[in-house]
Amino acid sequence: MKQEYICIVCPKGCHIIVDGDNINGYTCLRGLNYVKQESTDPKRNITSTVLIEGEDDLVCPVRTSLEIPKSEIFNVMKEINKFKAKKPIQMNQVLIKNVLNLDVDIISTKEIL
Amino acid sequence: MKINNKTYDIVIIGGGSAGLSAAKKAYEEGISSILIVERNNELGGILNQCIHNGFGLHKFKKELTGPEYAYEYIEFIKENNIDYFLNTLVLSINSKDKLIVCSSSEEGIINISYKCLIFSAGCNERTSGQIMIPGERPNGVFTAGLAQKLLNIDGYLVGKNVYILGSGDIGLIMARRMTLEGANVIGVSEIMPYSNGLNRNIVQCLNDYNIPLRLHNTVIKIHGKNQLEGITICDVDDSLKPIEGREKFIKCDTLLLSIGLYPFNAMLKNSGAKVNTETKGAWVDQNLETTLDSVFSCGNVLHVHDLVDYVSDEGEIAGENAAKLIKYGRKTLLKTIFTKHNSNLGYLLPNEIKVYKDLNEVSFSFRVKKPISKGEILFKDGENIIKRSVKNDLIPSEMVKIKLNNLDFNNLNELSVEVNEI
Repeated sequence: MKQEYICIVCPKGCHIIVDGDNINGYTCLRGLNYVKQESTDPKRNITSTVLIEGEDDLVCPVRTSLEIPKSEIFNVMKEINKFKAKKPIQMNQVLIKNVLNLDVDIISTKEIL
Repeated sequence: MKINNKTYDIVIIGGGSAGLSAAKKAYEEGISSILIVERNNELGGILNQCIHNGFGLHKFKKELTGPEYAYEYIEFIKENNIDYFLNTLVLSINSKDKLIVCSSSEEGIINISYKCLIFSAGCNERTSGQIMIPGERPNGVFTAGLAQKLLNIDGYLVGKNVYILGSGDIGLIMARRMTLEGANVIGVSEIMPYSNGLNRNIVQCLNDYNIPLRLHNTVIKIHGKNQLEGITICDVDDSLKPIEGREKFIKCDTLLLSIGLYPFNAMLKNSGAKVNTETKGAWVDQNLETTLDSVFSCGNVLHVHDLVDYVSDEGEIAGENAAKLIKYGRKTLLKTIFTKHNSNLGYLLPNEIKVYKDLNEVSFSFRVKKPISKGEILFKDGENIIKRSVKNDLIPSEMVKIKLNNLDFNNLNELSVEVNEI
């Protein structure tokens, strides 16, 4: 069955057509890998923020260290929203280790001293 | 009143992606007397609230979030002790005396003399006042970028049932972001027949969460006296006028506007710099110098970008040329070529090429006015074609950048860029 994907790897947004084992329209290796993953087990990086202890109007941005399955997005968001970080926070500090046993960490994306 | 007087070789107005990159490049070019003047309480500009990833693929060959991208530059600024003033507002630019006047609560009024000035103050969001939606003016109508700042920096979700007008990237990113935080994002309306955001954002921000995008549709009324109670959306015809009988009421408590950005260029304009009427930013040459002596402009205050990597590139051009002007002085000008473009381009930068001896490379940026599925891009000197390239899927939301190199610009009489559908 023919299925068209728009690549999200880079802002170019290539239109890639997957027809069984035939894959056309990609312009780089990353695009090919993306569409192979997307057509079998779609994954996403998640970015969000966590609360900081003792701060009322300041949150710390975070991301997943690796992509997580699309189906786990809202479960991971629940864990992120339960968490409170302690200052000082270093850049890319692991805040939640191995979230929901997905072998992925939640790490900070800002230094907040 | 105490007035502080300071002097720097290069003064940079705005510590966002353009200004940070200009500072880094100028420092690498051997200028150490650099000052960045920043209005906010931290460096990084809009990157600080853009916590999503997708930045840095060109510049760092990896996918970074906004704050991580900014960090790469801020660390450089700090490690090399480049000066910066935070919480400092520039009040005026006096290009004749090469002086800017700033104010900050800590330092009071500060006069700063410069040899070169780099203006990198970013852009503003268009607001509801600029599109004149009929109806009430209740709470609950936000620009997408303001809602983004409140959520990603301050930690406040501005609403629970959200509608988004305009399919610009910030609107799409906010559709996903608010969904992740538990809001119900009802839909996005775009008045044009095509989206103004990047394709990847339609996929990963709307399609992933089943958020409908209504093209050729807009908000025609805002309801609610004190708090937003709902909106009326309506399909539009080819002349973008609402079609009678195609109205629909949507109950919502929040309306986000993602209806475009424009260069925050007022201060430079008021200082006498010539304005490019198409970009609303400054009129610049290939070195990004404005019509004011030794004043450069780069980043979103020059023209609104879709990729921060390109903003950084532009900052580098401004930083490098400011540094070179200080180090080597001005070269002898052979001639000036004004650039032109055909009607398929929304704008073209630079506006003019100052031809010096040995000039053989110029970077051009432009946007198409409407989507072109297969376009032929021509650089022409009169009828003579200098360079031809073909590009698929040209859309207004994606800036095109092309370099002309190994060319003797002194041989050119004029330069025009055409995009033609083929």
